[in-house]
Amino acid sequence: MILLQALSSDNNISMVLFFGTIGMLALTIGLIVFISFHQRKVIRYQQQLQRMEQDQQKTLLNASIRLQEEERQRIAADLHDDAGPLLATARLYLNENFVNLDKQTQLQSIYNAKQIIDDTIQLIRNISHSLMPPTLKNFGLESAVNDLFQKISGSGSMNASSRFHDYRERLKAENELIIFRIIQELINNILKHSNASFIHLTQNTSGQRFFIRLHHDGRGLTQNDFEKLGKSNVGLGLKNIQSRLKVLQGKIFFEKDMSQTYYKVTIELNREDELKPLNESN
Amino acid sequence: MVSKISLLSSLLPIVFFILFCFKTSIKGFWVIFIYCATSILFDGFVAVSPWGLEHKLLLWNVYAIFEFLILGYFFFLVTKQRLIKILIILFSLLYLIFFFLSYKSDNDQFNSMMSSIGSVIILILSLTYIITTLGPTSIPVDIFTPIFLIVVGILFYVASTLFLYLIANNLSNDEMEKYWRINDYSNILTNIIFSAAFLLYRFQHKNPPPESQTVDFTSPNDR
Repeated sequence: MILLQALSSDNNISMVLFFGTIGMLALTIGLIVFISFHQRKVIRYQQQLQRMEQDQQKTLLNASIRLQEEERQRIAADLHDDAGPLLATARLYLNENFVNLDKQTQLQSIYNAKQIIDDTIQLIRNISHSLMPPTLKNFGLESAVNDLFQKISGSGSMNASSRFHDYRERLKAENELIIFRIIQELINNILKHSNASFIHLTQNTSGQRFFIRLHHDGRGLTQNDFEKLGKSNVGLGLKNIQSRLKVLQGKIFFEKDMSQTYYKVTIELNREDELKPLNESN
Repeated sequence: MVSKISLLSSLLPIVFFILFCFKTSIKGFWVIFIYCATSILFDGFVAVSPWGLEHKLLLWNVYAIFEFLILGYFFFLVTKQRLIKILIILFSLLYLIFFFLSYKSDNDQFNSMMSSIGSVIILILSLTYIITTLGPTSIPVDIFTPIFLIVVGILFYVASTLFLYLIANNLSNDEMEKYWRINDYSNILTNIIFSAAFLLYRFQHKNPPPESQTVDFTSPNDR
């Protein structure tokens, strides 16, 4: 109607046409400019996110490499400091047989060498068990955790208990090891820093989700603390947890209990992801 | 003078298409090529032929239908959403029906209303394409593609000629001659944008992403 009224005089036709066309063109140019700026902004934001992600990946990778190196150094030290001297001593005893012709002495030295070799076997077994706990390999996560908790309780400094509510089917061996290492790392942190008097672990599932929850009554972390420590240069163990969880595509939540008495750490995994081959899920 | 430049400018995208995109399998490009070729033929026929000059308004009406249908087909090809494709078919059918219903054979005049409606539909389709390309998420996509440029060209064309079509029936012949320059200017601009789109296609086609040039993903055993 406005347009028709405007068209009533010849002069107005030019005006409507002029302003209408200019207006439409201005709107179009405005739209294109807006899209360009918006797109640039989105790309910049995305690049920033990518950079942050890369930095985070780098930190996790560094933590993982450092941890691996520490582990190697420990194994090297164990082999060099313990196994090496033991085997050298056994060799000395056996060498004695060549120079000493007395049968009694020979038997004694063979017996001593056998004792030392047995000790070395036990030592190597211990090193091997620290790399892959046999209970975990043979009987699964539940037994391995129970075993670990029994040792902690046995020390008398802390009461540790665990309960697996729904663990009929075992997870893949490599994933069980990763979860076990995460639990070990968390327990280690609790033992070192929390001054807790008890730890309780529960396992449960909900649909395809697999949960492990740790409760303790000591000083703990909240999610904010965990994220801050994850970004800082300290907290190698926590970074290690993060990198292990990344492999499993899992999540971890640190929180204080509703009663404000306990700290809770919840590990959440997706069994659907767990069932996929590892390289496929990556 | 402007109308001649406008006519000649239609040659530009045709030449660019033949030079840079003739081997392309992108149907949308071929549609735009046909659109430009037909446009120059129509304009040339109206300008040169006495019959064409005499029945200029009739030819414009025919051209308006052709333009709507071919641009609609272009959007049909480039749009990924099924619903929009169905709507394009539906609107095209309705447009044709209403165009013929509203067209009065005894009154040889430009069908301003239907041409404007056609422009509005094409305008909406252009905006829909742009919005759907940007997507609901904030994931950056490479919007500056040849197709995007063509859509921008169409958007400029319909936006700048919409008011002209809207009031075309209220204009006298002299005024029509005078204001038709808007159509010529927008035609020149659109043709330049179309040409730029074909040129962009050539550049993007010529320079594949750097990683495919430098990284050999095949195993030495497979070679």
